[in-house]
Formats: sequence, structure tokens, C-alpha cells
Amino acid sequence: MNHNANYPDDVLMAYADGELDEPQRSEIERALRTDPDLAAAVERHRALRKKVFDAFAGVLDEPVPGHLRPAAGDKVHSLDAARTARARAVSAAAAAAAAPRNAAWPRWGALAATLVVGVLAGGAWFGGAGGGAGDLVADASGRLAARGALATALSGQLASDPAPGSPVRIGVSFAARDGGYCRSFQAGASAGLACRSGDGWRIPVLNEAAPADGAYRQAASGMPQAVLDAIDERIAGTAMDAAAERAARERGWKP
Amino acid sequence: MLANELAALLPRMRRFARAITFHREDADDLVQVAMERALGRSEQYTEGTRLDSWLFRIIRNAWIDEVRSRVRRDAVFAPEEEGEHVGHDSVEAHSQRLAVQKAMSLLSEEHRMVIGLVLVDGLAYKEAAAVLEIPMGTLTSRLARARDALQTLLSDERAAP
Repeated sequence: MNHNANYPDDVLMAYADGELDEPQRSEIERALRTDPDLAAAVERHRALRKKVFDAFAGVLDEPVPGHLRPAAGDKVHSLDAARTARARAVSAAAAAAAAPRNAAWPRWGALAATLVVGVLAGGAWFGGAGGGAGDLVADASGRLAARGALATALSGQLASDPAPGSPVRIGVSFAARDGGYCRSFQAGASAGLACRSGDGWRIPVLNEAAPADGAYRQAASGMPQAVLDAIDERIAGTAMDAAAERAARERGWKP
Repeated sequence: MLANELAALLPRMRRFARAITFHREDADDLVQVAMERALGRSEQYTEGTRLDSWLFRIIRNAWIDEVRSRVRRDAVFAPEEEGEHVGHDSVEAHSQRLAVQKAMSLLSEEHRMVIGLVLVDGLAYKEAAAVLEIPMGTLTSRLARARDALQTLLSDERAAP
């Protein structure tokens, strides 16, 4: 497909792709101004490039399935570690429950055992989000549950369609083995997992967000290991895609 | 550290994998195999070189010597699920995406690879040539032929809907 004897098609293609160096580039630019056929050929290359790019661009916005993350490589180890930690937390909770003075805090005790740093770090954004702990996470009947902006984000925001201005970022949404829906989230310095329970969101895991790692920090890597483990442990199949997520939201996250 | 850097590249790797396989599941299988290989061979990665190019090369090799043979050949082309991404764009944009994806699935493997690297991911010719382990001249002529083929498929599609 030679459009012009002076400029073979692959040279025009390279020009359209921004791959030509001087002085060839300026030479073609000059020729384009006087030769409409040449200009049309370059435009065809650009249009095709855009069309192909657009056809796959949406993949970048899809939530990355949890099992693809590098940590999945030693899933067995981390799962064991998570179970051990949980077993310890349960006995800590039992001990706490046995002490009358602490009777109202058994779950907090359990959480503290596993997530000492996480819950404390969480305080930073509870306060920072302007309204104290009660605003985002509350201790409802001894368990952590989402409130306020966090609850709103969990029910309304889509991982595939981030809400600019929201203090909360949704990581992945997935169907859990027990049939309900769970979603990972990040808010300020904290990250966690929320699972739908009745009309609210229970928070089985809350942790300090993974430390920023220079230029490479982004959605996929910000989730702390404890949250990734909790996802691995609960997820049935793979993370929901944009369409499934939207459909689940429309059903009010009912199984 | 390497694991974090690899994780940051996952969206791009999935997009490339989607361009060279036909199914979402195959694409993710491919990415998973490639990630496992990358972590298992992290000592082969040279600090200071481009991690994305290294990973693309692993994906390409994983496709050729492992995943390709076990993909779902029953349905050669599986369009993205109905309704996906819809809401933001027009029906026309949606059908154009499907047409491009279908045309890609009809290209030769060599052509899909080069289009996936240069047009879908946006790698420079030099980087794409390094991933494919071919000289620049070969890359350029292969890319030109792949574009011709794709353009022809898309025009045919339009002529006979």
C-alpha cells in the first residue's frame, strides 16, 4: 500500500506513531501540507491506532482479580498465617470477654490482637474525615460496621467508576463463599474489607494501608496483606467485573 | 519490592493479554502464569532495565509455550459481556469496540502481538522490538502488515454487517 513513491507506507506509519526522527519528520510535515493524499494516509494510521487503543482501554479500569496479585504466589502460607492470627484473636477475645470490666469490648479486643496498628492508624482518618470515629466506623453491638461516608461509599460507589471527591476508594467487589457480597476499600491511611450484612456493612478486617512505594503505588498494591488474605479466604470465583458490580448495586447488594 | 512493582503493572498486562487471547478467562490465566514465572525468575530481571518490557516478554513466552495450547478453542471469539462499560459511551462506540476485538481475533498471532504492544499498550517501536526479540526493521514491516490486515478486516466488516 504505497500511497506515495517518495514515502512508503511504513514511513508514514512511523510518522503517525511519532517514531520518526529529524530531519525526516519535518520533511514529511512539509509534504503533508501540500499533498492531501499523503495527509489522508497519515490520518488513516492515526485513526486505526485510536480505534484499536479505545477497544481495549476499558480493561485498565476493571478491578484486578485478587488471585492475580503477586502475593497469590504464597497464598497457602499467608492463609495459614491468617488462620493462626485469627485463632489467636479468638482466644484473646475469649479472655477479654471473661474479664467483666471489658465485657463490652470483646470484638475490639479481638481486632486489637490482630490489627493493633491498623485500628490505631484508622483513627487518623476517622478524625481527618471530619467527624470522629462515629462518622465512618462505629462499634455496633460489639462489631465494626460502616457508618456515614464509608457506608454511603460502600453502597453506592463502583470500583469500576471511582468517585473523584469521595474520601473512600473501593478496591474490588466480589461474591463471597457464603453467598453475600464483600468489597475492599481504602480511606485515608486505612484499608479494609466490608461484607454486606442485612442493610449495613460489617467490617471483618481493618488495617493500615500498605505504605506508599514511590511511583509504583496504586490501587492494586495499596491493599495490605491482611486484607488480601481476607479476600482470598472469602472470595468465590473471581472479582466482579464492571457489569456485575453495577447489577449487584442495583439489587441493593442482596445475595 | 519487585512484587509491588509487578502488581502496579497488572492492569496493563491484563489489557495486553486481552488483546492477544480471545477470552477474558484465558487472558487472566495468561497473566497469572506470567506473574508466577516473573516472581520465580526475579533474579533474571536486571535492575535498571524496563520491568514492563521484561514482563511483556514473559507473557509472550508464556502464551507461546504454555497457555496457547489450553485455551478455549470451542468459541474462537468471545465478545465482552453485554452491558460492560456501557453507560459512559454510545451504542456506536460499543459496537466499534466489538468490531475491533473481533477483527483482532482473526489476525495471525504475530500480528496480534505487535498490535497489542504498539497500538494497545503504546510501546515505542524500539521497546516492542526488544520484547519480540526482533530487529527494528522487522518490527516496522510486521507492524505495517498487521495494520493493513486489521484495516482490511474492519472494512470487510463494514461492507457486510
